[in-house]
Amino acid sequence: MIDSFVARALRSIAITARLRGAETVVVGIQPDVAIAMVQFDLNLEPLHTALDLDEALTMLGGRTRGDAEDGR
Amino acid sequence: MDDEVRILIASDSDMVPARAQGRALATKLGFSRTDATLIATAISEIARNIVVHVGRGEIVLQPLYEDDRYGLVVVAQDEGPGIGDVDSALEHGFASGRGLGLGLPGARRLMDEFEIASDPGKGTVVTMKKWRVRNELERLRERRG
Repeated sequence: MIDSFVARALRSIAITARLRGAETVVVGIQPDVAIAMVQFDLNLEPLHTALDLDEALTMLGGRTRGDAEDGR
Repeated sequence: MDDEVRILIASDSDMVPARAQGRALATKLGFSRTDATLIATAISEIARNIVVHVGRGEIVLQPLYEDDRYGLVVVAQDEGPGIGDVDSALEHGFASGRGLGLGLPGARRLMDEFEIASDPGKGTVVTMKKWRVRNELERLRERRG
């Protein structure tokens, strides 16, 4: 369940992470929660969403490959 | 009514039972999983408003049984400063500073009926309802016992 305060917290995390050059992906939003969020008109920008962890890692894989090797 | 549920709201952690009780009552009344989530989200929103803006209040959940529909009423009451301009508070994007400005208008969209009575200096009462239409088959089954 995501209400407007939770949405705000998630967005704050994503915005902070983006300032450090990282992307945030939320996974596993259940269908009924998605419906509630649409009715609520919640905006999660700049958060990304994916169906599950595998899809999120695939999504992020293309962007982060190689970053870990230079020890940041 | 014996089905009435009262939940004291005094901190973040009280929102968990408020949501859970709302979901449980909705399920008992035959609401779909989606509607139960909408109700729980609306409860969460107004409970959060109490915690953030007032600090203390109460949420009362009550079932409504009518022949052709069942309903769930959520009443949230507090003895806080009240809302000076209720119309503005219900506008999308009107934020008092700590929220997103989505709370009250969002909760209103999630429910079927929504009313605010606010008395500056005395408190606020939010009453919201969600209805579920009972079809012919359901009523027929009930009559047959």
